[in-house]
Amino acid sequence: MSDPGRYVYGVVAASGDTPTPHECGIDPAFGVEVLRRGALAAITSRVRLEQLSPDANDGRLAELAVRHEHVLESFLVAGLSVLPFRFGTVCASDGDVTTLLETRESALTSALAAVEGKLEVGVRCSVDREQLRQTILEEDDDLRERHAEFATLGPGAAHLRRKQFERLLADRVSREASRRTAALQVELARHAAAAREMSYLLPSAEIDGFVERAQAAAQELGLRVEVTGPWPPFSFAELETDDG
Amino acid sequence: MTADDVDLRQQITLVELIDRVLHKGVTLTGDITLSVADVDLVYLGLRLLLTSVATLEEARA
Repeated sequence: MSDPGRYVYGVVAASGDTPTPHECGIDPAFGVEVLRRGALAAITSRVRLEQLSPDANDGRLAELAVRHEHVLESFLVAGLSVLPFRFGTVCASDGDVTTLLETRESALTSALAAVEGKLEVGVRCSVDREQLRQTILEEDDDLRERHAEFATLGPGAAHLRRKQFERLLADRVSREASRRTAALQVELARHAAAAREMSYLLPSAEIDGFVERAQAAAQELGLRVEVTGPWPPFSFAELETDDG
Repeated sequence: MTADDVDLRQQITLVELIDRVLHKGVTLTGDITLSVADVDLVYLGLRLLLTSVATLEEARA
């Protein structure tokens, strides 16, 4: 059996009080360790490489992803800003982890600063299509007239007209749903530090206010929203490519 | 909320979590890292979960 690797969950600022959570790591045999180098610290744990093997059973990846997330959240709960790493970063030794912190120091420091004090919120948006159909039928004169035409036609002609009508209506509904979703995105992006698709980066203190605003804006637009999070800022965690 | 609503919400949260952990966040490659796990591997159980949540959401809308 090979030596365990060092799984890296993310990076935090090194400080005297960097906590060592009691959370179990990605490999239940090993706990979480914080490895410091200069002003940065890597959140790590040892991992037996076979634990990450793709031959492990289905649903295993979900379980591992949840553990990865929980380790990061334990640092957020302790009040630290976290730069999350994507799943699956493994170094061969503690020395390699600290070397990584050293060689990427500038890029990691910038990336961490970009998410300092901030968390991510997800906004999932849906529309009641039946209700939107009704609204459009009421408000669109052209569609209303076409609908009225069926009454004057015999069965064969009415059938074809109805099909055409339904296609037109479905198209209108889709376009209107997209328009409203885009309007919501634009509105929400104005109130966030950053936006990526439907993820929003916010200072922690602004999260509750943002969620209320999202619900209100969605309601005004006739949309339903499901707000998820707050999350470690995964969608806003990137390294500049031209680092040292 | 009904039991179905709670279940759906939990599944949505799980899908959102997995999407972030597997597809977002800092990625590193190079000599220092052993590997970045190939997250495009087909984990059938996970695919079914993602598909079923999408279907549930559509049915609900």
